[in-house]
Amino acid sequence: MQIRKMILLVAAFALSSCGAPPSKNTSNSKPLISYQDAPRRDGFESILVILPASSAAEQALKGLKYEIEEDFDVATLTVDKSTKVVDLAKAIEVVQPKAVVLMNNPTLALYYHYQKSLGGKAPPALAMLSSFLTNVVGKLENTGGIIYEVPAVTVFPSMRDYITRKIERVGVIHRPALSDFVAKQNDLAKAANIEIIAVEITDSPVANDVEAAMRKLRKQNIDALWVLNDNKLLAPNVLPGWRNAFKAGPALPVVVGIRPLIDPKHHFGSFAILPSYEGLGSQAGEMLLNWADDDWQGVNGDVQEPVAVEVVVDIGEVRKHFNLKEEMLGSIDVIVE
Amino acid sequence: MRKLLRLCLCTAIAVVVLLLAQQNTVCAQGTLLVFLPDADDTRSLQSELSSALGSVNVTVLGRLKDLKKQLEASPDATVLAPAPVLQHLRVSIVLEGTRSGNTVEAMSLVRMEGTGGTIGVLDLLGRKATPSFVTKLLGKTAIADLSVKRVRKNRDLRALLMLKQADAVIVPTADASKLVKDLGSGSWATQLDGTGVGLTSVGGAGAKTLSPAFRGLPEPLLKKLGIDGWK
Repeated sequence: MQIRKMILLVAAFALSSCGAPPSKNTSNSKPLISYQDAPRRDGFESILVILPASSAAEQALKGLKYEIEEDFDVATLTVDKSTKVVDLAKAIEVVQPKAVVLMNNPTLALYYHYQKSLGGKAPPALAMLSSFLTNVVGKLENTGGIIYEVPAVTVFPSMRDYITRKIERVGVIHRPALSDFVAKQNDLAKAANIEIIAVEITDSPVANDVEAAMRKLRKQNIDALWVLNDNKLLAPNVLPGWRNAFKAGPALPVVVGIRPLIDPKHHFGSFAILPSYEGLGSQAGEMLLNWADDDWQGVNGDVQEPVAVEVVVDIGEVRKHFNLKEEMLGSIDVIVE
Repeated sequence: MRKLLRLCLCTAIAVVVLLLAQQNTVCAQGTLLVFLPDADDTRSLQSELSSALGSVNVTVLGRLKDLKKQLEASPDATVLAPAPVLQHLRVSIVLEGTRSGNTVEAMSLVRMEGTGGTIGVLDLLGRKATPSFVTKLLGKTAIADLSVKRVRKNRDLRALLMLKQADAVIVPTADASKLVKDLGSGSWATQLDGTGVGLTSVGGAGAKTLSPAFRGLPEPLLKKLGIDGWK
């Protein structure tokens, strides 16, 4: 029953997160969030933010507005599953933005089709809250953005801030589709004296695959485990494999990338190092202002890693097994107990 | 007669309790606006300041723009913020925070490699004012093609360097050796001879009234404000 609850939590997150479609905006189901645009000001150019009705997008919009509202008017277009390229085209025609900000995967896909329909001359775009940005950014014209995933080089030094346990060898289990991502993370992580020990498993894993991969990782004396945000690795039929693997040996600090996996009842993840949505918005704002200073010449391919993070800790688990640095308690963003 | 004695005794006890309570809590009134961008756990900071300062209405703000707006709406407010923020907003400083007797924190430049000019710094003053603030911090340290990247927390400066989004970062000298250790071989710190950063201070129209209350703040709360006393 408890496992079922956890699976539902993860599924609920997956549906509400960056990779999922935005909430439906029909007459029967009003979005939870509606964005109120300020009146346009004379002499100000505008940025059009195309976003779903979600709290992540709302926070990112807040950070973005703080950064750019002195220089640009900010207009919003809330999208959902029913939004078509023609709706986007109409909004761009009305707002005449200097650039657009695309928040989430479906929005990015929509803009790709918009660009194709135009055959060029679409406004420059900044993409964020999108889990496949690196795969698609090259297919879009005049588009840059911020990657959603927090890189290992940020994750593990952050974790070291909170525990005295040595963290140098970090295990990760991944599917073939993410091997390039893992290799890049290993390169970046060297700067933090972190070595990523990777075990690749099948493209359609089941619980046993994860258990077998974990046995391999434990033999290689890993200091911590990094669980990637991969829907197939966190599918309901695979989650029991993780849980069995965790029970099968000494406790390991486990870093996850979604908050519902930090659950004091089930002790899946010990730490979640997540992107700060408001921080992402600020970072996006700074990128837009720099592009504007450069007369929008530096947009194409300017893809950055997220900088600001939110730290979530299963405090009971960490205190029990990994020697929490108690003096750092105040700097944990979310304590779960 | 016994009833009367009991009533007198109860009244006396109540008066003593009230007097003691008044000694412990300075009953001040007014509005306190707090802007401490790098403070941890701002929610508990707000409640601790509220209980320590008695009847003062405490609001902790996360952004400089919010502080500006609130200050415009409440010009009589007291402001608790790093000294450069008060100076930037032209708020007169009444109490300067001190740490080990100093009112200013020395700053260091930490580099990983190279000599590039993109410098990361905690965002105290916003986009437009930060470049000149950084120039003051750098003092005689020359940086060619200076550009500034701001972060909302000091802890994000490490990520800026590791992700190569900045060539160097400015951090309090007290934190520089830990950052160099985190970054590993190839990184180094140079203490800057610029102005340094003024510590948490109190200013504004209501500050004089609240001075006794601030001077009575308990040591652990002062530590959360990044100081250990007042000048």
